[in-house]
Parts: sequence; structure tokens; C-alpha cells
Amino acid sequence: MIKIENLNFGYRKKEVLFNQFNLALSPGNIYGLLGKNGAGKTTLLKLISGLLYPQTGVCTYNQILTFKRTPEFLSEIFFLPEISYLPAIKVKEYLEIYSLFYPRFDENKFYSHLKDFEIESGKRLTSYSYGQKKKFSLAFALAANTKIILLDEPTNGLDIPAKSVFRKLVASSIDDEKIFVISTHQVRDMKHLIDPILILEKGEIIFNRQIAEIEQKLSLEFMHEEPKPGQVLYYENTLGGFAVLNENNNGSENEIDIELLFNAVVSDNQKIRSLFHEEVTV
Amino acid sequence: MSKVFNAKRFFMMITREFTLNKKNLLIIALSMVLIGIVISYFGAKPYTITRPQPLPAYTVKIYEVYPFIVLVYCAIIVTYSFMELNTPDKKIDYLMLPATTAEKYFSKFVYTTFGFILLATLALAVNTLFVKLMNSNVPYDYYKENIFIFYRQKVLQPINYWPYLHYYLVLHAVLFFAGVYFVKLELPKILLTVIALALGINLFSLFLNTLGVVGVYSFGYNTNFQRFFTGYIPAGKQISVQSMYAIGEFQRQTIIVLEYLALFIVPIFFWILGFMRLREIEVKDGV
Repeated sequence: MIKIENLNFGYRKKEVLFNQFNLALSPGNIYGLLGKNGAGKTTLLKLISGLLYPQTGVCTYNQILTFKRTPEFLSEIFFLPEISYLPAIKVKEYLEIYSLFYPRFDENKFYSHLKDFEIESGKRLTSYSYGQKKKFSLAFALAANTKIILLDEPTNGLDIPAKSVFRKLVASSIDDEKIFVISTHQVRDMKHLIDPILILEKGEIIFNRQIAEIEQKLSLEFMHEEPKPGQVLYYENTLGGFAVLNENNNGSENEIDIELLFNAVVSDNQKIRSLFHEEVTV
Repeated sequence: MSKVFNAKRFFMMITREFTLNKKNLLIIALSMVLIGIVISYFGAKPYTITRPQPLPAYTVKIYEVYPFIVLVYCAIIVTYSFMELNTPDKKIDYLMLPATTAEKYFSKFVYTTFGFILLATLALAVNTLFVKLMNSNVPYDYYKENIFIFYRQKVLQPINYWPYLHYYLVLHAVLFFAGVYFVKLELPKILLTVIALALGINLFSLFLNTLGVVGVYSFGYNTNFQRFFTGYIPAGKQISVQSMYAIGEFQRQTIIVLEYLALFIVPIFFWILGFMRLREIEVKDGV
């Protein structure tokens, strides 16, 4: 389990980004970390991976302080940044030097992932396009079989078929021991994948709920006429009408649009919070 | 102990260093061979045409250019040995490698010391082999000279390389530290720092000079810096000729001792400083 307790962090002393920040991430989940630009998503991932150091407070993984970045911890975490570095060597060479650092690295799985992404394995890594580099890095990250996988904007640059492949591969990679945290703006790419949803706003987790609970409490409707004030929780203009987020009073199963949920939470989160009886969930 | 230094992880880091840099190393080795051949070619000319036997002393000196070339390449390789810290993506890749600071630091240390010296020796061997091969196939009677000259035994004796090895270690230590310390534009920054330091020392000694520390005498030292450390006598003081020579001798001996100390202490000091800086990046600065 990853635990962040009473963490304070800011890039400058006077500009605090995280103030007494608390969060717990349990194994067996693919967390979707959503937030506006500058909300602190990437910073949070770097704090978890130990690339940044809290001013006060701690971040631990199974009682190990992450910022100490011991080799034992680092071999259990894979952080894939939005733009990752690939050296000017061939796939086989990359595998020979990097896979050894990860004790459970699965070579067969790696080549299988490359095949799924339709990436040629005989090429030099620097000859790949941006999207191909992303696919390669994703294939490696998933084959590393680490207990924690942090992905920052993983679908940026991926073509449409690759996004589907990505969802399939992540879904097949998760098990009871692994924690996935996917930071993204492309919420539609993450449909049926991320659960729970974490929404970060100005260094604070303002929403942290499982999809099942969200769907139990909220319903998505489509209206042709604009709702009256107070009639619904949130609505947005869409083509030919209005997408409406409302309280699910009849308990019927329905699918929630994550983008609409995000906009609702960010625009007026008090209504949603009261519906979920939510203080900020820890 | 394995928490600080693990042989397996260290070997993995070394393998990584050589695999990622093999293209650069190959280019460097080839260019060293090429430069060696050029030196051999021009080195053969002055004596073989006019005086075939024996070799004049200065011809041997030509081959002492080779260790100098090694030092120049050392400066380039060592300065850029921490290129991984230059950009955020490379830095993340490097810092997230499951290895300790000691393993990361010493892998680069081994690559730039033993690895590079081995490479330079190999380049020299290839050059010598090539030159010997060329000479043996040239019709000597026709040309009346060797096309190339190869490195003579004297040059390859360890005693000849000892001062260069010292310079190498001092240069390595200072640049290795600078490589970790300066994130970008390492080489220009290092040059500027050296110039600034030299200027600073000279200005400081000049300043002391203007304060009234006069009566300078010199034993062949020319700069303000050297005079400052070797021969200032306070103004208005009387000193006998014998005492002056005694002081001079003492100062000469002191400088020799200091030079030797510097050769051993400076590398160790900067290597430790470099390690501490990398550790600081690892556990304080982050990305």
C-alpha cells in the first residue's frame, strides 16, 4: 500500500502545492488521476516515485520511505513520464541492459506487447516516431511486472487502435498486488479502465470514489431542453441537447461519462460532495 | 553492505555505460588511431630523409604528443560523463534506475578511468600494428625512408607515462566533479570557472602587493600567484643574503612537497566532492 501522510510540498518556499496532503492507494486498483493543468498530478507521481522530496510529511510504500529511493523500492516501481527517454540503441540491447534491473521482467510478455502495438523490434529506438516510442515504453513498463506502475499521460501520441490495445494490456496486467496510477486528461481513452477516480484540484484530492459507487449515486441523462436552475446537479451543452448529471434516485444501472463527472466535480464540487457525504476521502 | 554496494547491480550499471556509449567510444578510438597515424607519418619525415640513423632526440618527443591527445579526449569524455542529468527525461530515466548512488557513481568512474585508459592503450596498439605493417610492406630501397614511424619502446615504458597518469587523475577528478555539478554547457562553464579562478588569484595577489607587501624576489617564478607563495618579504625588513637563500631553498622544497600532495589530494578531494554532489541530486534535488 502507498500511504501519503501530512505531506507538504512546493517548488518554492512561499508557493505551497500540497498542504497537509493525505492519500492511500491500495493494491489491485487502477487509479485514474484527473485534474486541470497545474493541479499537481505529475508532481504527485514524482513524490510517490521519490523523484521529489516532501518538505514535511512522508510517502511510504509498505512502510518504506519512497524518497530514499533504495534499489529494492526502485525495482518495484516503474514511472513512465509523459516524455520518456530512449537511448540510441536497438530493442535487444535496451532489453539486455534495462530488463536486468527488474527481477520479474517478462521478456515473452514484452515481445508480445510489442506485437500487439505493431512495433518492429529490430529497429534502433531513436528511429521510432513519438507514438512508437510511447508504445515501446508502455510495452516495457507493463512487462517489467513491478508492483507500482505510474503512467503520466500514457495515451498521448497513441493512434486509435493503440489506445484500445493499451486498455486491453493494462486490464490484463493488473492483479491483487499491483497498483496502477494513471494520470491523464484523455478520460475517454480510459473508459472501463480506471477505477477508482481521483480528482486533484490545487494540490487537494477533492474526489476519490469507486466507479460502482458513482454509478449507484449519479445518473447520466440526455435532455433536449435546458434544465432549470437547481433541477439537476450539473449539465453541459452537447450536440442536439444537454448532457445532464443527476442524482440516481431509482438505483438503476447506468454508465457515467467521466469527463462530465470531472467537470461537475471541478465546477461545483459541494453538491457532489454532499451526495457522497464526502469529506475529502483518505 | 549490499544496501550500499551490490556487485551484480554495479556490473549491470557498467554494462549499461558501455552499451550506451559504445558508438562514441568507437569514434574516439578510431580518431585516436587516425591522429596517431598522422603523427607517425609526420614524425618519420625529419630524420629519415637526411639522417636515417640514429633517431634524434626530438623525434621521440613527437610521440609524447600521444599522451597529450589522451588527456584532451579524457577532458571531453569525463566532462560529458553525466549527460544523463542534462534533461528532465534523461534525468528521470537515470535516477529511477534501481541502483545506489555509489553504484551509479563508480560505474561512471570505472568507465572514464580504467575503461578509457584501456581504450587509449588499445588505440595505441592498433596504431603501432598498422604502422609496422605499412613499413614492412614499403620497398625501403626505393623510398630510402620509412613511411611511418612507430612508437618506440622508450615511449611505452611506464616511467614515461607516470606524469601523464598523474595529470590524467587530477584532470579526471576536477572534470568529473564539474560534470556532476554543471547541468548544462559543462565544458564552457568549466573553462570560464578556470579563467575566473586564475584571474581571482592574480587579482588577490596584486591586491596584496598594493597593500605594501613589497620587496619581491624571485627564483624563476613569474606570476603574481607564484611570487605570493614563494617570495614576498614585508616592506622595510632587512634580510641577509644567506637567510634569503635559505628561505628560498625552504620554499622550493615546500612547493615540491605541495605539488606532490596536490597530485594525490586534489583527485581524492574532487572525487569525494563529485560523489557528494550526485548523492545530493539523488536525495535532495530530484527532478
